[in-house]
Amino acid sequence: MSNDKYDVILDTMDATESRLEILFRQAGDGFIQVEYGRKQRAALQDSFRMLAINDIIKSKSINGLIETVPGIRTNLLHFDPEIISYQELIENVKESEDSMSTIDDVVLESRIINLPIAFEDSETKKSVAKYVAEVRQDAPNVINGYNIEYMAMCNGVSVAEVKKMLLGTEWFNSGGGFWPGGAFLWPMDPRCALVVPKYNPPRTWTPEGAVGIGGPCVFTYTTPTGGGYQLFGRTIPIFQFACKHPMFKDGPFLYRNADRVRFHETTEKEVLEIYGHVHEKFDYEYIIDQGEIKAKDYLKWYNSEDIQTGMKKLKEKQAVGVKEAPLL
Amino acid sequence: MLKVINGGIETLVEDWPGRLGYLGKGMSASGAFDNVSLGFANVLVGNPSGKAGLEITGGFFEAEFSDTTVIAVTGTDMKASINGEPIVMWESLQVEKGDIIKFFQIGAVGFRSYLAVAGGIDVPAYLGSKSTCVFGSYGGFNGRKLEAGDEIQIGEPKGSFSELSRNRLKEGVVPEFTNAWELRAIVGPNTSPDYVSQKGMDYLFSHTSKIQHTSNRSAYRLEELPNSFFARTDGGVGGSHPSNIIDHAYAIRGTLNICGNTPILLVADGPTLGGYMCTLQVINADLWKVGQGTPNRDTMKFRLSSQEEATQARIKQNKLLSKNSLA
Amino acid sequence: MEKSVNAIMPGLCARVVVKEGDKISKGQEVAVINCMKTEISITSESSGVVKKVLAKEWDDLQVDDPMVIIETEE
Repeated sequence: MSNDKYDVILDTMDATESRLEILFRQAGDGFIQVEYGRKQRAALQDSFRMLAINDIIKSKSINGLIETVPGIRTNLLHFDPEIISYQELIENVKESEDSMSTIDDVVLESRIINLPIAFEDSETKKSVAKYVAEVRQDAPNVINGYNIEYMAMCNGVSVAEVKKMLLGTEWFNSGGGFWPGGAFLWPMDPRCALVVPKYNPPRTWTPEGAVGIGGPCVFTYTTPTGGGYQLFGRTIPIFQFACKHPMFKDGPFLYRNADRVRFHETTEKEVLEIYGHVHEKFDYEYIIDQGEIKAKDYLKWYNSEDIQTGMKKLKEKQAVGVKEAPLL
Repeated sequence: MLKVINGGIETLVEDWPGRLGYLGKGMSASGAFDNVSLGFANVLVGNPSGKAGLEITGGFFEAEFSDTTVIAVTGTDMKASINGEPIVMWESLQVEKGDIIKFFQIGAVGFRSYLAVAGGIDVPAYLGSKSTCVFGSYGGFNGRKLEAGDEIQIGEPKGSFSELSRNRLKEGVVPEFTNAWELRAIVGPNTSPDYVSQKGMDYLFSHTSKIQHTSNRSAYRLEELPNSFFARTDGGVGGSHPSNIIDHAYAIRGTLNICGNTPILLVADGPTLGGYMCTLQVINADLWKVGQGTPNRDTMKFRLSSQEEATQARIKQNKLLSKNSLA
Repeated sequence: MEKSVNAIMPGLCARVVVKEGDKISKGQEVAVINCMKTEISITSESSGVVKKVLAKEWDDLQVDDPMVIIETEE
């Protein structure tokens, strides 16, 4: 650290072939932020590594480390400075980083959570109607009483194509936060990488299970709350405060870091029935597949010609769409 | 048992250190906003300092005791009384079955009063804590502030009522309340030179800011910053405003989030992650001062602190919040 | 007898819900203060007639600032 009293870079690790430079930033009294790269980027490969390293750090059961909070390119370490010094903690992270020296080593446990979704269901439509009635009458993101046409417009595609993209990729959880049980879900397939602006101003109510997209991330609303993501449908419960269903016996959360969500289309009737089986009868069986992500294989696939061409095509459409879609 | 007659403006069950370990699940620690006042109240009635008590914000709480017990009232002076007789604050006293405790409005200094009861307030712990998160409606008493008609259970006291009552604190240990709070803070993670200008950081540590009236248990809002605060003109891939950043976890409780041009201290129930830069964090030992900062009246000013000072302050505070402080 | 209904919290006046000449009863809401992003109801402690409205929307209020003057019945 330099003598500058505002310098917060406590330590660094040089970039290697398989990862960016690492910065250890002071983040507070009992907090350090581990950051990948000086230049901001949102790339899944950084998140894969961040989470794989996070697993190693956690497996060490470091005394005094209260929790880790990984994001797409940062990891916040919360510790008790009366038990462990930040220097000791940084040494632990460095060891973990060094133990994963090549991209071949980056293998991440990653479940696939299969969630039924009803597009354009009546509950999320109600919340959009409430928004128009109570918050913003002239909201340009509400077309025919809903957001899905605006989503299509922003991306220069049709509503049918939007649905196809939402169903056509797995959505990767780079880490939770913001709202109880929430997860920020990123598209694994760049050909399905929709991007939309968020509500302005935000909604005052969103039903449990609403599924929306804001910026590049999909979010499944865990409990009724406000919110700013463009809504396109409703899925089944992903959170249960009361912890009564066996899936929630260890806590109210369904998602873990590095989970992938895969949506399949169903009717609103079926979604509503599942609510009863999760929250009242406690007998719904979640469809979860065990799996893993190999960063090397993913990158190879991501960089292949087919995928890159498809991604480029979508970006061209989006460039046109962005110009046509009204700002919020 | 405590039967609520009037919930007042915002009365919550809170403990300390709150619900730790769930930031990544979107749950802030919550906990007593002024842990020092709760801590002393607990020590006075023979409880461990972090035991759950009532946090009374704004005043007007009123309740009836169903059993004989020992209590202590700390924090801002809300002219609390038992059956109309004024209570001496920062001391423990025995109350009898049928006694009615009543709080009036906030005093000249401070915003929150604390009521500790021998044995603690007994609500089911949720994810390791009895604290209420009002923002998320969970924990504490049914996830909400207390209302008339609520019946609050009390735990087992650690000693006889005669031993526990009439406890007092040593001279000089009661924290000093003010209308102009100085908060020691550690810088990071987003400072100069890459996010904030040197001038901007100097401004942050020299400017005295009024606490905005919108401040609550999630966020304490301060006065807007000038554009010269930022070292950049936009947030790059993080967004159009220079305060934007790719989503990262927030160091709560106590980080200063720069949301557009508004500096916001993310506190007890604050959001755990988001897309705005964070420039400093109030040290753990000074978080209580934020809780006593009165919106639309008091001011706040930051003083540059260090990891070493912060850790020493924690140790000192922990020592203070113990039986050693009893006279 | 004149009695003033005062602010019980610091904040901004959200609105005054009575006007001069209104007959009000004990416990009735006369104004609302915005503080902590919540609306706090200001009620009259006595019955009477509103003699003067002192506060208006967006007024910056401190505890004990008079908001409404009531001519009480006693």
